[in-house]
This record gives sequence, C-alpha cells and structure tokens, in this order.
Amino acid sequence: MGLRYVAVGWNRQKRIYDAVVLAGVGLYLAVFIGASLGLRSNATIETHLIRAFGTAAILLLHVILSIGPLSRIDARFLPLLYNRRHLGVTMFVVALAHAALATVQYHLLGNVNPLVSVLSSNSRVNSVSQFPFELLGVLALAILFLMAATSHDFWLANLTAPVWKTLHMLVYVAYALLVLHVALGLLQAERSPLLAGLLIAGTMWVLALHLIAAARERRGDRPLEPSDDAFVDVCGVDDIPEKRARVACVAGERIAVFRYDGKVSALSSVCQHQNGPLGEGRVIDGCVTCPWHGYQYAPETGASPPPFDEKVPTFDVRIRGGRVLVDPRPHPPGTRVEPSVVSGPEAP
Amino acid sequence: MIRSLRRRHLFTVATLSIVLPLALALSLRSRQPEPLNDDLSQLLAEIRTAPADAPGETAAWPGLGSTLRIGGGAGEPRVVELSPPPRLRRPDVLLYWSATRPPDRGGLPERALLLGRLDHEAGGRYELPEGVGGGGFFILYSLGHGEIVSVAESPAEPLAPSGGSGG
Repeated sequence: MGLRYVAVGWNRQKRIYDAVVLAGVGLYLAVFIGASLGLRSNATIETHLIRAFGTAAILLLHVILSIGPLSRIDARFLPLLYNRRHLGVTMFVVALAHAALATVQYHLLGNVNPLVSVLSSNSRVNSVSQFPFELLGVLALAILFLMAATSHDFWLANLTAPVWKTLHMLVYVAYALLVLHVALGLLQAERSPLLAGLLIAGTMWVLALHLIAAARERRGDRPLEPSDDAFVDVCGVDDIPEKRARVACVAGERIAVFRYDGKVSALSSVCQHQNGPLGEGRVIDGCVTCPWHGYQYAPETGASPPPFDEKVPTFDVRIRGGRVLVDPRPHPPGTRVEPSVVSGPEAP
Repeated sequence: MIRSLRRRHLFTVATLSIVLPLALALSLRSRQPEPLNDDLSQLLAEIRTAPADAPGETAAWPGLGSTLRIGGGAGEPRVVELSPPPRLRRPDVLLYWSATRPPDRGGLPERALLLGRLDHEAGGRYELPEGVGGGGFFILYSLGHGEIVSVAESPAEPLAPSGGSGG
C-alpha cells in the first residue's frame, strides 16, 4: 500500500516466510541429491542436479496452487497466502536452474546453438512416447518468467487489474504444460509406478482442492432478493460478531456488513488490491482490514486512510426490527454513508 | 475474488479436470518397452566363438589398422578373425556380415547377420554360417550411436581349405 514502489516491502513476517522457503528448498535439494546418489550411483552428478531442481520446482508449484483453495476452505492457511508471490518467484528460479542444467547437459556439446537445439532437435510431435516434451517445459518456463517478472504491485497498477489477473491465471496453463512435460518426458523412461503415482496424486490433489473450494464459494453466490422498498434483508443484527462482518450476495456481487462500536456499515466485499474477501476480514484500528494482504478501508466511506487512495463502493444500510437491511444500489467508491446505530432508533 | 473471476477459475479448473487425466492416461499407456542389455547378452552368448589358430586368407581392414582373416572349411568350422583395432574409439561395436554393401547413409542392410561383439584388446573370432564369408561385406556397427563405423569387403575368392599361412 505504498505511495512509492519499492522492490520488496520487507517486514518481519516476510523475512520469516522467505527464510522458511529458502531453507525448505535447500533442504529438499540436499536430501534429494543425497538419496539419489545412494540409490542411483551410476547416474552422473549432473543428472542428479537436473532431477533435484526439476522435482523441487514442480513440488513448489503444487504447494503454490494449493494455497489459494486451502485459504478458502480453512482460514488457518491465510498466512501462506500473504507472501505467495515470493514463493512463486522462488519456484521460477528453481525451474530456471533445472532448465539451464538440462540445456547444458543435453544440448551444449553439439554443433548447434544449444537454445536452437532445445527448440528443434526433436520434431516428433505426432508421437506420444517420443513427443518433444522439452518444448512443453520451455513454454511453461516462459509463462512462469512473465509471472515472476510481474509479481509486484507496480505491474498490478500499471497493467491494470484485469490484464494482470489474466496474465497470472496463465499459471494453470503452465501447470498443465509441466504435468505433461513430466508425463511425456521422465515417465516415458522411468517405469517406476511410484513416480507415476506421485504425479497423478499431485494433479488430483490440486484439481480436487479447487473444485471443493468452488463448491463452497457457490453457496455464497446465492443472491438475496429485495423486499418491496428495494432494501435487502441481509441478516439479524445479532448475527454479526463485533468487529466482523456478514457477507451476502446482492445485485450480482458480494457485500460485507460490518458491526463495530455499536454501529453497522455496508461496503463492497471485494478488496481493490487483488479482489480479496473484505467481508472475511475484521475491523482493526477503526478500519476494515483485508485478510489477504492487509489493505484497509474506513467502514463509513470505503476509502483507505490517507495517504493511501484505494476505495470501494459503499451501500445504504438501516436496521429495522433487529434486522439489517441494505440498499443494493452501490454508491461510488469512497462515498460517505452514515452508519446505522445498533441501539439507536430504528428505521421506519 | 469477484464473480467473473470465480467463474473463470471454475471454467479453467473444470477443463483441466477433464484434459489432464485423459492426457496422463494416454501418455502412460503409450510408453514403449525399453530394450534391455540382458537380451543382447543372451543373444551374444548364443554365438559360438571359433577355435583358435584357424588358418585362412588374410586382408587388411582399411582405415582401421586391423586385419581380417577368414579360414576353416572342409570339415573344420569356418571362422573370421579380426585383430585388435588400434584406431577404433568406440566401446560398443558389433561385427555384422552382409551380402550387400550398406548404403553410405543409413542403417544396417535388412538381412545383415550379427556375428558378435568386438573386443578392443583381443579382437574377435567368429564362426561363420554356411554361405557367409566370401563375396560379402563385414560391417562394424556402433550400437549406442546407431550407426555404421566401418565397412570392409570380404575376400572375393572362395575360402580355401586349411594349409595356407595366416597373416
């Protein structure tokens, strides 16, 4: 949420996160290389390194793709979401090391430029068992590079959110390419059922997590219908915990009704940063705080406290008969709406 | 996440849920069996080695620094003996015989006959079946590289009975 862009907005939590990631990657590489030297001593050290980096990269990608749906299923995984972009950049660097080592090992000692050799040495696209699987890896690496290079709020702001989000959804294309890279490459030579089983299990895990999270999210998309006076009955006042919100789908999008300091306000549940679920956050220091990256908005205005300038739409809200009613017509982002007082006179 | 993004995610994941399992199944099903060295060892063990000191015709193998000797016949096993090739730098060479010269570019002739594996230090002695030896070509073939290393024409004269001196 800075006015000026810095490469990384370091804080204690990010340092711990990155330390754990780097230590984990280093430990994995050491254990993998040690174990494979013991089990496959006839392979060269280059082969061990290529496999270590490759497996580390695809394992990291599975972790990264799991974080999103896990956070939707269980809020305890939200801390992993906070610095996920660092994990993504780390995964790209590990994948790049794998690609570089493989290019040196298999394409450097011929009379063709190694990069040209990677792209042109195998043209058997009509064969499954001899498919040019390296091309799949190259394509995936290109996507991961674009994502890693734009993993910063600078690009989110300058590319605009729709473009940036479309680019970063290419991670699913990269994932499919990498699964096929392994299936059409390593698994064509390695007949161990364990390796095939691990790849299948990882793929099923990622897909199942996403489908489970999608099923849970669909429940929240059931729209509420307005009553005669166009206000929508969202919930009872007592249904909203203090400093928390109740989320409802109104007029095609989710709104969050927050209760705080004896008052109730309604604003869009979509954070302007990366569309995080504001309604799943809480009021901290008088501001609605997004659970994903900590972006804050004043509940009465939907505007970030100065000097920040993010804004979300606000909604008229009233309390009648102990029920919270919201006008589904949004005000422009940053518009001040007088909150309803919980213990005050009820609306007619 | 806004609704349109949730829909896009759902569409993407639903597509992958169909495509990826099918692609994985196809790739695993299409795996080709790998040839194992054990088969080749068994094959080579079936080829009997020729007795030592079989007399016969001798010819130089061009470019290899080696000699080729064919001998035997008239009751004795017909053999071909190849002396150790000092200029050969391939570890995986097999000796074939073919009635026709192999093309300049391409693999072994279709009816090439495997005689055995070449030992760089001891050379090789190989028994020749009926009709094999004279008038054809001996071929050194690299199994690992899948290419012909060298070709030598076998002596055109019919094999003479033992009595001639070796080379």
